[in-house]
Amino acid sequence: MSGPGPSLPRRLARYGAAALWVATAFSVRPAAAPPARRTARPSKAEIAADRRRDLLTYGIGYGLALALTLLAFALVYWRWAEPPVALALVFGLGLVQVLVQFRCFLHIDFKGQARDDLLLILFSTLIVLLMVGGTLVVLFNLRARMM
Amino acid sequence: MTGSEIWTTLLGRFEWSDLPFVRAWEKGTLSEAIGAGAGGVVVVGAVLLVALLTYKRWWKPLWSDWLTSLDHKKIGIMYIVLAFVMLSRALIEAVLMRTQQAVAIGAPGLVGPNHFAQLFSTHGSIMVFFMAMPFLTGLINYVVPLQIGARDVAFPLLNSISLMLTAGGAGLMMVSLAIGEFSTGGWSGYPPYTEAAYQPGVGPDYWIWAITLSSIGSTLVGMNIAVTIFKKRCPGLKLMRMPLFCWTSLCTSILMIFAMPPLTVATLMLALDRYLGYHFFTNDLGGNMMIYIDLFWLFGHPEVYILILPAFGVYSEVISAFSSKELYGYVSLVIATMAIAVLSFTVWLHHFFTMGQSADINAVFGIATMTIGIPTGVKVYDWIWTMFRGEVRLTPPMLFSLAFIVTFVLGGFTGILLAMPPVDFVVHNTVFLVAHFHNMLIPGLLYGMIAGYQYWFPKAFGFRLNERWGTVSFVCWVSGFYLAFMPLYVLGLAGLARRTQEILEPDFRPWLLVALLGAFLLLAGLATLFVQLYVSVRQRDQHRVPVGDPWGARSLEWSVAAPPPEYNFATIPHVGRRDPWHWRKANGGAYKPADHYRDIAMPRNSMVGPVVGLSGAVCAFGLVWHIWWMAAFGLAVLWAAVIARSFVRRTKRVIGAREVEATDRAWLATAAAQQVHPRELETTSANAGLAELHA
Amino acid sequence: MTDPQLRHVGLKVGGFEAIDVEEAETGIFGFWVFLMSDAILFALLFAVYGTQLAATAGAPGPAAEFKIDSAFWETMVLLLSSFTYGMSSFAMKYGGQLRWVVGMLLVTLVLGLTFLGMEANDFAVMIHDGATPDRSGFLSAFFALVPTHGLHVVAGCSWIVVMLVQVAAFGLDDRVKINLLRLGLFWHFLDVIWIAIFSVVYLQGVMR
Repeated sequence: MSGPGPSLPRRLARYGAAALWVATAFSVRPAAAPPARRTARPSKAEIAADRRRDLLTYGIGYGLALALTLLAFALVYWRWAEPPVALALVFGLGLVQVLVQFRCFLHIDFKGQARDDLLLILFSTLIVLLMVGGTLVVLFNLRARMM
Repeated sequence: MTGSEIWTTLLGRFEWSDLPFVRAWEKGTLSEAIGAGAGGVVVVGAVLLVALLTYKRWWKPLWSDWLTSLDHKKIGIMYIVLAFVMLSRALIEAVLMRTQQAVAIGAPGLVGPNHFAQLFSTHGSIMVFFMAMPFLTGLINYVVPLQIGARDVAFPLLNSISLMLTAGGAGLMMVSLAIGEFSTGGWSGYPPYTEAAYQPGVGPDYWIWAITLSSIGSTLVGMNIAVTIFKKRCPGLKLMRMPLFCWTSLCTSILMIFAMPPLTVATLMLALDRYLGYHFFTNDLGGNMMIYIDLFWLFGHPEVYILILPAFGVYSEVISAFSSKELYGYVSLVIATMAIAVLSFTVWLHHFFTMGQSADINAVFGIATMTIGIPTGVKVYDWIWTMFRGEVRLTPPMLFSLAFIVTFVLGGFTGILLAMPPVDFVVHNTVFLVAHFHNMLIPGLLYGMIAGYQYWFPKAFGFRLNERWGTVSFVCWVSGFYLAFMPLYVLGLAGLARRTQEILEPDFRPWLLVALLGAFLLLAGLATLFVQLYVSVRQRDQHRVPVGDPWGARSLEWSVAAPPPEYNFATIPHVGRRDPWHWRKANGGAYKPADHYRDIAMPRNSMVGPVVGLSGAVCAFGLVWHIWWMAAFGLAVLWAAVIARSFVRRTKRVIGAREVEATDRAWLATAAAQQVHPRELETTSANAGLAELHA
Repeated sequence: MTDPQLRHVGLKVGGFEAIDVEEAETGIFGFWVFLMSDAILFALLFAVYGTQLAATAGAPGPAAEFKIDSAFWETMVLLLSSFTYGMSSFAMKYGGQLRWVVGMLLVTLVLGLTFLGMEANDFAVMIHDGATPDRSGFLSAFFALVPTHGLHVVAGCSWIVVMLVQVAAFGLDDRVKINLLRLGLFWHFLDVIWIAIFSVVYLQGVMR
């Protein structure tokens, strides 16, 4: 496994940095959500705070997505890792990026207000795993037995 | 341009010999004559229908009261009418197939092999996509908004579009009788047999596009119902307070959302193979037909539960109402329904145990399959306990429910047998399988739909259906089922392959004759349903139930007039517990005017639904016949209609508070003037829809 | 009046103005349901692609045909368009400055069209090289998965055009806002799908 790619510590450092970024993105949220009162108009300061936070979320989302794409691309383009490892890393980075985009662009989070959407997405993920996983297992098994 | 080029441009690959009438004239065989006869029935039927509409001046009411209506109740009724029309065709085909097998023992029989193959293909496709799906969708559409205290579904226009797309697909199926031919590849359309190499004609294309239209319609309707149930429930109606029919509808609609895409993907890939020379499922160049089989059953298995769950909901409502008891084991029924919905995504491989995957994989899916029997068993016990010590009345819906319990359990046993891969290898592709799935779907779907139709009919039209004819029909449906399908178990074990056009074993004759008798009884069951409808309409004045609660039932749909006003509820109800209507009746809260009436905004009619359905069908027809201008035109109109609609801003119509109040008070006055009827008299003209209260 | 329920879409319809909250929420939840159904469709196309990877049948395979540079720039363009759409939603939410909303929509449209142009060019090169879908099971799977995404982008672009016309005709009324929110979900969703395509199809392809 000692290919021309970077050493293990360097790789680990890279994953650590990525994880940190993601953690930052997920932790950006209101310090204390204002009590939901249907009639009260939020104050100017609250609107301004919301505004800043939203802008920051988009910015972080874009930055993270960019970084993750570049990383995956570089892994393959400059052959930083052996194909099997690189493949796993590329898929992993892709998955992380999907999560980042869901959080920052599609505004799905684990707070109460997004529960309906979140549950829907989690259920869909279950079905996707069943369908895609099942299809791959069955058809690769068939291929192995028939080829 | 030569003449033939002009012909091809304008009419694609159509030729005169594609008309069954021309074929019958040229060949003169009995098989072709039967085909021409069926095509003739379609043409003559269409002409007569147009004539009738014109003569009675019904075009305008048909258009403005029905086709363009966005009222969920009318859309539901239209779905069910469509289902009955298609049921009639597919049942006649079934009788023809049974006749063929009964007479073609060492003889050619009535229809040739190609014709016979078209018969079983259309029979299966219609029964699943154009009978069962519209029927259950219609019931859900009619009942669910009323049960959850809503004025309409979440997306009324989408509802109309879904209906019309399904109707467009059904229209395509009917057209295939009169122009061209249908696929001979069965309802599942397995490639490579349905590829262009083996069936270059229009048959599989009719199948592909009819199915695609209907599956898109079903996906959309699934979304609509799920969102309706999640977002449109009246105040206080928590999920765990919903009637069980709402639960099964919710699970069915979730299954539609997630299980229809595999079908769409599979059929569109087959279309790519046939139209653009792709190699998904071909024999050569890396094609792999097993992908299709996998995709098809990823859809096909959940589809079974899409079909069965709404019927489970109907039985829960019917058994509770006609036992005058609350549903036993509500929570366990809800959990069982959800368990079935999720498990249904984990068993698809049992439809192709013999495809060649390893024994381990087969074992896993076999065990998963048997697991589904557990929640289903829970339900059966719950229904039985609901009847226990109840005041059970054997009305037609209740009779169908009882027949369902016995028959369905029997079918479940044969299902457990088939779930064992070694057994499945033995009876695979025999009529044993045919008997099994009819044994599941006739009680598990059709009886439920008929029971639901009889149960809610008085709500929709304001008068009861004749119970005597309902009972006659019940006897026909049940005895017909047993006579038609029990022999098939025997024949399947004896090795009779399914879809056989000519029988070579004379010993099968008695069994096949019994099955034929059963098929005729089933047809009589349908005929008596129509007689029942006719008789009931004639006698409607003696059977009116204007107050709206003929069975003394417990959920909200019975708390309004029969038929309900367009907006369902004069004021949106508030719910504090399960069975809210029963609670209100018991606590003196029923039939009371509201404190306060408000204006109600309801959706205006829209012609977008019919336009989308028609242009979708036109586009599909163009694709089938390679008439490219027609396909492009249909698609363009479809998109133009959708985009144009997004510019319409006046989509709502307001019904004034005064009108609402007047209607409501008139209904309350009717209720006050009526006598309460006791349970024993609910099938007599004493029943005006004001039921006696009972524990 | 802000309804707490609505905050979950993160875009907060109309900032802090009055809007039919229930209708907006139902509409947006409904659109999420549609997206998930669409996601199943893509997931299956991916599964088929996975099973057909080896089915090249002597026709050009992934390593020979995929232009990673081009795919990389397509990724960048689409990602940027996702961000610019986000900026349009952001402008709509806070005060609804029409100039910014429309401007960012236009930028998104241009980026979307650029993406489509580049992708069409890729396909044209492949077809010119003889890598057509009727050559092999693998190319069939490729030409089902990637163009399906492309068709979705076409639909997204035409939807943007329709919305631009509606903004011109009606301004930012409630229905326009709800539809812009839905379109936003659609557009971001397409970017998510593309990430999967970039990883599973292109990066994996050139690795082999």
